[in-house]
Amino acid sequence: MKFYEYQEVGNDIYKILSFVGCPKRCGSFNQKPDDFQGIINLIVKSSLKDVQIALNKNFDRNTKLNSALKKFRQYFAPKVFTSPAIYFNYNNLYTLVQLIGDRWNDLIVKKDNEKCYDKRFLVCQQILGFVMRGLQWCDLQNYAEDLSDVVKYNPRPIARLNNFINEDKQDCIPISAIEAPLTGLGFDFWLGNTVKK
Amino acid sequence: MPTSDQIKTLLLIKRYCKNSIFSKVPKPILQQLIGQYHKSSDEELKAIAQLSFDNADDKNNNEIERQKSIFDNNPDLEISILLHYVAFGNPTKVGELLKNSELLFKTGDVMLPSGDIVKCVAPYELLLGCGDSYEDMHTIDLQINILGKRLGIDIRPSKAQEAGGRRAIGCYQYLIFFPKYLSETVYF
Repeated sequence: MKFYEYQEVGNDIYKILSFVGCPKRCGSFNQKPDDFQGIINLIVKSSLKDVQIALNKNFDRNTKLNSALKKFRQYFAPKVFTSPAIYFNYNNLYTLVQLIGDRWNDLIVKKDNEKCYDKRFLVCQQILGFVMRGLQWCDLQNYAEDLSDVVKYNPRPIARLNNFINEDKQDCIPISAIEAPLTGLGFDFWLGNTVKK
Repeated sequence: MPTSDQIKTLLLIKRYCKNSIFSKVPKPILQQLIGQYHKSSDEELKAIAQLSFDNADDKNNNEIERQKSIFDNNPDLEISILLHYVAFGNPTKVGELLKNSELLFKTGDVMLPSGDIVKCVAPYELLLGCGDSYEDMHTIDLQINILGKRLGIDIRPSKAQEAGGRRAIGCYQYLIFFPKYLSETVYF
């Protein structure tokens, strides 16, 4: 994945909300969102070195950010449901994207008189992406087809694609949590403008 | 070659754990494995090996019959497959499996693509929980409607369904059959 070619990664971030029909679902499910302020604040305050350690997936290194990310991943780890529920909290995604949008400019660091976007990449890949691992297969199929029109305007039925191909059109991307424990969605990329059909 | 302790363990597992992989080891392979120990002085091993060989043929036959019955008749397996296809959004397979409409009332466990495990879930409940509200999963709705007619219950589509496009699942349809979920109403 060639993330570092992008100077501005957040232009399409609000499009994510449309592909899961998020605002509509948030209103109807009455799910309580979790609080992401702490982890976003910690990333904003962390040094660039710590951020790059986390971004390069050196999770063995003992840093404050790494331990916070570990706790975050444990909290959003797969669960066991024994009673009726909606399995993905759409309000979490909605709240998180709004929060990232609010703190978007704080996630830039100046290094050698140049703007460094590593904090943005970390937030999008390992926070937003990890929350997205909980998305259900119909949402991912929806995304694979880039069906904002299906969600919004209902012109045609969903095609039920099961292949997610990266930008170079070379490999299928491991997108489900079962296929990819420490890679793929939530570690290497998020469902933004970097994954296309 | 395995040691005598390993062979002992294998034979004990084969004899007492009927669902283990070792219980299905064919006789010739076992003979080859423990053949050299028949002449050994280990009396315990000899006894265990003798017991295993005595019943080997009967066990193999029983095992084949058991497996046949699992794949032919076991509804638990079918419901697991159905739940998997519901979770992984495959309406074609769901439609094929739901020709047996009794499956709508069965429950089973399933792992979602997110890694979450859902226990004791019925197909329609899983569909609601996944938020899969697209038209092609209508087969489940249709089956419920057919069953409703058989039972003499009038199940009408919701207004959103009549309007077309994305269907909004009227959960009252589901609650007719599963009243225990009345307190957990889910609206789309």
